[in-house]
Amino acid sequence: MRKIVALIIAAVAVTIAVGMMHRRNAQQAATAAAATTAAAAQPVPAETMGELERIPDSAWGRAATQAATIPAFVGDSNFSNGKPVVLYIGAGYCPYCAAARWSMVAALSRFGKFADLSLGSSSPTDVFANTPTFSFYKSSYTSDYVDFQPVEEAGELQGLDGRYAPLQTPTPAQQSLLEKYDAPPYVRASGAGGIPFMLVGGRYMWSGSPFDPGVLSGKSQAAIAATLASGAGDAAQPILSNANEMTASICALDGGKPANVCSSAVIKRAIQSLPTKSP
Amino acid sequence: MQRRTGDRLVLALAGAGLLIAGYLTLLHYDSSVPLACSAGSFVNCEVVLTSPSAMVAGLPVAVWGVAWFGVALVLAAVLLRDAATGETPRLRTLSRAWGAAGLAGVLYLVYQEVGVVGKICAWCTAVHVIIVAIVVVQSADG
Repeated sequence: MRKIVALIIAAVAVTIAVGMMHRRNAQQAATAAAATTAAAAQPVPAETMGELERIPDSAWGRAATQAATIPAFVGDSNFSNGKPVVLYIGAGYCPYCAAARWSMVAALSRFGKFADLSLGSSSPTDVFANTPTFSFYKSSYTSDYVDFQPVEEAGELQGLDGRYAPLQTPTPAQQSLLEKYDAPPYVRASGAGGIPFMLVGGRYMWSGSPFDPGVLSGKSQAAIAATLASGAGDAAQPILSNANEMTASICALDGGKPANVCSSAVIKRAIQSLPTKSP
Repeated sequence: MQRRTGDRLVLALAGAGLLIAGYLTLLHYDSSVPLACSAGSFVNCEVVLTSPSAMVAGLPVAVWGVAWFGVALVLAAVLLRDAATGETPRLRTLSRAWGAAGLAGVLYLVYQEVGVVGKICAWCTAVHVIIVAIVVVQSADG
């Protein structure tokens, strides 16, 4: 019996040792893959960026908030230098994050300017495969009204071990907000901790896809961006509706600035319909 | 160790393993069942149980666990019943082979947890310990 026990202990020990070696090698491969992916990232063409930055008022008005996902009111406060913090936690592989980024880029471009935004697409092997989008990884954003804090936790490609290459880690404070508010009663228990997670000023929270990523399927970023000027269409309407809702949540917290954005009729109505109580 | 005592022990261990594997199977198919497990950086059942490694041949590992413990339980019960009437060497050999297959499964799953997922599931570890204990008991009773 002692012999058998010794053999089993030896077998388990060897298995753990081999497993740990494999894990270390896989992590090194994943880090290398992430670096390669990041290096190969394509910048968003100026024309596409321009279409996102210069969406006409008529398009915003047409989309209104009829296809918007209403945020949950969590009632906290998160400001930096007097500006509401817009915290986003997502990942490159995630198709729901891919959809959310469209509305976020459109909304945030009303308050500031992105630089070094790159083209991206969701995982080729997950649901809504290759959903066209952007990546906030290694991008920057300047604004007089908003402090945007994006965290792209992983890339869109899987390593040899089946895991997505890690990119960024939330700070302890960001992780704490995710764990506190991406949880019941603000979201269903089954969706707790899910991404994308977006928290505006610590008060308004979105968790999960704001709209069906399927409407973006099979289209290029340039083709989608070109439809935004009209505010109509199966992609433009949910993108702009959700961007209007996000815009309203920022306007409700930054003192209604800039006035040309926050004083529009659509945004005023959206601010009034923002939730004021926690679920 | 007396064979009847050993068979009784295997019966009890297989019953305990069946309960845990049954709970993990319920967790997989019913999202309303709460997961009573640490969600730490190393011990994290949710990460392990939702990883690709938690599926083998299209079925959750927990389902394979239910099947394995179910067979182990039946074999131990038959051996215990037949012990009164006479020895059943073929059945005992089959029971030991089944234990060895379970042990191979444990080694594979430990490798998946440590080497692929990078996290440990406490419930899975309990199941692994039970399977190892069954194999040890089977080897001790003759």
